[in-house]
Amino acid sequence: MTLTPLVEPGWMNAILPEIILCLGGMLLILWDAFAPKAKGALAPLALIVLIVGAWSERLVIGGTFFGGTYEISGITHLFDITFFLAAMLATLFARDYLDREGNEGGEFYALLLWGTVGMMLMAKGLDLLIIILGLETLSICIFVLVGYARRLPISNEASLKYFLMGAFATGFVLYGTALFYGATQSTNITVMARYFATADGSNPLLTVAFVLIMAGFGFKLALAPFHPWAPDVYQGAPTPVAGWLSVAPKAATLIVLVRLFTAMTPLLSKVPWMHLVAVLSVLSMIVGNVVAIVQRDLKRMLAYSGIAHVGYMTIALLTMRDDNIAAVAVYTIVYALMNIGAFGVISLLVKNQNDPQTLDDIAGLGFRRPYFGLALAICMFSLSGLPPTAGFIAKFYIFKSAILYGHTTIALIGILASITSVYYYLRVVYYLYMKEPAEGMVVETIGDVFSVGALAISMIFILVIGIYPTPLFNVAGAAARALLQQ
Amino acid sequence: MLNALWLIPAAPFAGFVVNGLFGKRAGKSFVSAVAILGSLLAAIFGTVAVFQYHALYPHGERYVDLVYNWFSSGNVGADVAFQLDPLSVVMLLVVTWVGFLIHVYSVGYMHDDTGYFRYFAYLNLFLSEMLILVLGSSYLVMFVGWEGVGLCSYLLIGFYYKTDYAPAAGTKAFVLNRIGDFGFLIAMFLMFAYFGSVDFARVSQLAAGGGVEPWLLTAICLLLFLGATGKSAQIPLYVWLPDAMAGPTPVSALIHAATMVTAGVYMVARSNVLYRLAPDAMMVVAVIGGATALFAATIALRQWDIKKVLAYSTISQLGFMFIGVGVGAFSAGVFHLVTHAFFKACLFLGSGSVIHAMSGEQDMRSMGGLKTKIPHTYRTFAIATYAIAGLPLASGFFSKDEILASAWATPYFPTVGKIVWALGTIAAFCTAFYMYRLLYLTFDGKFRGTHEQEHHLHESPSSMVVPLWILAILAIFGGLLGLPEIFHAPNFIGSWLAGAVPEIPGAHHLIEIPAGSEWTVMIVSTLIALAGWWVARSMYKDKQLDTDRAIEQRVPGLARAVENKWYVDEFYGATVVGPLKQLSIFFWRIVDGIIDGIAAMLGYIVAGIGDLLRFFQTGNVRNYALMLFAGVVVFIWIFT
Repeated sequence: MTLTPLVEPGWMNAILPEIILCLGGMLLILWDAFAPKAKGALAPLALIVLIVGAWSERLVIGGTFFGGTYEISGITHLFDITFFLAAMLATLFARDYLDREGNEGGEFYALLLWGTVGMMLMAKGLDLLIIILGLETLSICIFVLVGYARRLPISNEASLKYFLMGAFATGFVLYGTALFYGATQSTNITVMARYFATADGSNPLLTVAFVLIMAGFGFKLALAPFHPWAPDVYQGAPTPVAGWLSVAPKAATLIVLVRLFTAMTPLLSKVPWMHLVAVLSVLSMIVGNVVAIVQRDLKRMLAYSGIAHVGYMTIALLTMRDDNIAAVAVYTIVYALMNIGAFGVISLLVKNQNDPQTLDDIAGLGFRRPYFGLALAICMFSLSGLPPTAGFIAKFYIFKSAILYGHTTIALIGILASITSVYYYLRVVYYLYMKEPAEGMVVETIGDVFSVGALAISMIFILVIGIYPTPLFNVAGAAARALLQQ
Repeated sequence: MLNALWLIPAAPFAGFVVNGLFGKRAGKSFVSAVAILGSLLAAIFGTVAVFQYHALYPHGERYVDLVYNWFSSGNVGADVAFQLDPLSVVMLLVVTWVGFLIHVYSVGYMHDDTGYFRYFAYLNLFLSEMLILVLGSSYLVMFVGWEGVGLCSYLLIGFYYKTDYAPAAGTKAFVLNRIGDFGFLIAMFLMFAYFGSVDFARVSQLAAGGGVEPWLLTAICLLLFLGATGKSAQIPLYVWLPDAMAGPTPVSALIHAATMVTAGVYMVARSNVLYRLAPDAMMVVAVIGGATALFAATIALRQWDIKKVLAYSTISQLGFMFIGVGVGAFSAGVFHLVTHAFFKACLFLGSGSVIHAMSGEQDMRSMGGLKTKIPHTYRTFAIATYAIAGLPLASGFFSKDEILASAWATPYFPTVGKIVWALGTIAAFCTAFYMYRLLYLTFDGKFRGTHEQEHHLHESPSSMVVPLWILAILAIFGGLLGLPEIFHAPNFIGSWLAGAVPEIPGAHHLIEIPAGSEWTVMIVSTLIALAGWWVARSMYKDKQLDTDRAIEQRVPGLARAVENKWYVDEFYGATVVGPLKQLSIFFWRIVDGIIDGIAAMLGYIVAGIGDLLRFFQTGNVRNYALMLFAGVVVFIWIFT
């Protein structure tokens, strides 16, 4: 028996961003302990940690580490950037929100940073165990963040729901992993890929394992029919957390699925597994869009819309080609910008957070606070896929590659579903600009330089990516090709 | 100018940005100066570019100005690029100059409105998007403009957002247009998948090169046409246009008559190579066009809202244009688009002037006898009515005649062509009838409004009257652009547009109309138009509303059906909108309800205080878990 050294030279460098985020999180908690009066510095500090962490990505050199269980490449860089972006936007919105709610604390930002570390582990993990480690790190952070407003019953309820259901889903992932191990003798994706290359798919163990894994990750993605937790949890979570939660963990799960499916590619032509993925995608697009139509609560509406958006992204997972992988990467970044932006504007509504934030609360907002109104409108246009916003180009990319690789029917359903979605996104714009608030029902908004800045980031990138997407496409395309060539 | 075509849409866009940012605080004169300058610059830039283009490419070759590569992935990609060719030149001139006139008119019309800056910002944005639509060199750039004009249309229809119907009308327009966009998008994806490009010239070239399966071309053409039925208000998606009249009247003139709604016609003419290779799709276009022309014209026969009559008239006239492009007479369709832009803009602006004089009243039953009170409006309105009715030698006469003659003589589907001709000819009779009914009810007879309204009657300011006269003159003489061959005079627009309809193997080129049929059709059309006018005159000039009352007594059922637009809106409500809403509620209440459950509802109420124990007992989370588990079991059962 030979033992491979688990720690290669340069390992410190490989996890430099993770180390920075972990230490930064500790620093934030300590800061709170030593300087409880200077809470105002927490968010800027968290931002600095995030920026330093993002910058340190430049120092990280590609390759596999820790005995082939940890891989760094173009695609992980790209997803790391998405995670950083999501965390930064959430931090910026959280500053105003927590300040107003009076529960600003270092642990909030620390959990956000640590959750980001969990996602980075998922994205880089080349071994299912590492991925589960990242998933659990992330889930624990989410569980606390969702229940962060501990005096609000609705927040407690959401947190508990997420905890119970999350544990249940992780169980599925673990069982699936165990069964995969039983069939392939390994949890390492590279080794599994070697097995898949010669397998004929007749082993029923494999199919059960695949379904279990898909159910577990489907839960994290809020794919129908594993979606029902999402509206409740988003509604109860502090709004900036809900925005972050609706984007970042989904991105991390998608890259895991990309890795798994890529490894399985030789087998997939022999087994009907992708039909399952297609069914999940179609169900999500239909349920998400159709149910969103009747929602008046903005956060619930965005939850259902998120279910639909994951459905679109899942279309691209049906064939593992460079175009599709790049399309997923582009979509997650764009989705982060527009969805966190939309949640961000909702987080600025001054309201008892136990009550739902409904469409009526934003009536006439476009005239009272033109900047916030414009930001929300642009996010809505982008979510509905109107050119020249980034949402259009991202969706176009997904559908185009789907049709190119022969998934015409599902792409048609997707386009039809996304056209249905225009109705409820546009209704938000309608309330912003064509509705007056009822007498005495004017909901105030509050927001200082942080949220204004976050909205500026969202809006500028939504428009810039929409008008000039080539650089992003090139980066994503190169990363996807590199992933496939391994 | 040619190497900076992007400046043409950029000029009004700059106006939009300036007015959007500073308009609220700036005065009205600043706002109107910026907006008019934006549209005027676009018109001037456009005209200069057209002259330069003509000097360089006298034979109508395609000129492309690449701005940058939008994106490329693998072997497919798209550019942001603008192009000039004979077809876009025509559209460019119409859009910019008519747009400019309507900007000028709006200064007077919107003078007392509180949303003045908003209005002009939207209007400039619209112009910019419309120019992107007509100048784009690929379907994708066209689609950007296509969506952009849709958005502006939505914003402007809902402009009077304090009324309860205007925002709803805007939403309706937007949603119905999105159904059409579905077709447009899929057509584009098909082009990407099979041609690897959405560039106009590249797609045409590959399609004409042979080896393309016929079903693909037919599918692409039909899907594009679905897009056109949305934007250009054809059966079955036309129902948004009448409601769109909720917007300010100059908007109806610019967007919902002269420019945006003709985008579908432009698109079909632009794709003429594809259509000529897919005659089945052309037949669908022609038949839908003919059916819409007649159907909408019948509804217009018995409307009292002056703008509603014009709205249905627009739908009907768009139907004529689709007959033109559908039977293969692409230049005739575009010619009618141009003349229609003149006379319909004039009519809408005229109706705006009437409404302005009537202090906002739109119901013709309260009008009458306005002839002497607002003489300029009356004269220009009468001229435009003469033109649209197809009475001899005005613009509508020549353009409509060319369409009908082409339908008669079409080589693609001779029998169906005759049927379409018949539909068009009956529609032409209705057109003359309802337009003269409108003219007589509004301007002849005695004033039927309130005393207050009568006291208030006044002619509009010159910023409104001058554009009216310019358009009226164009409505009369616009026909000189395209005289028929039998007059032995040059057909400017026909020979100009010939460059946009290339000869391709295996398809017909331009339609040859035998002189005999041309004469026959022209004489029939003239007689029909005269008949329509004469019937309307004898029924309405003196008797006025008595006629409508008499009709109602004689055929009450029919009268009510027409008055209620053949109940199409109600039909859609019962068959599409209602069920969709039911489905949505079904998914929400029933499907999600299995999970949420009555127990959960109880849970929200009881556990609202955070009693965790009781919260467990509601079974809420248990149900979610059950769902997860059941899902897994079902999937395993299916897939193993």
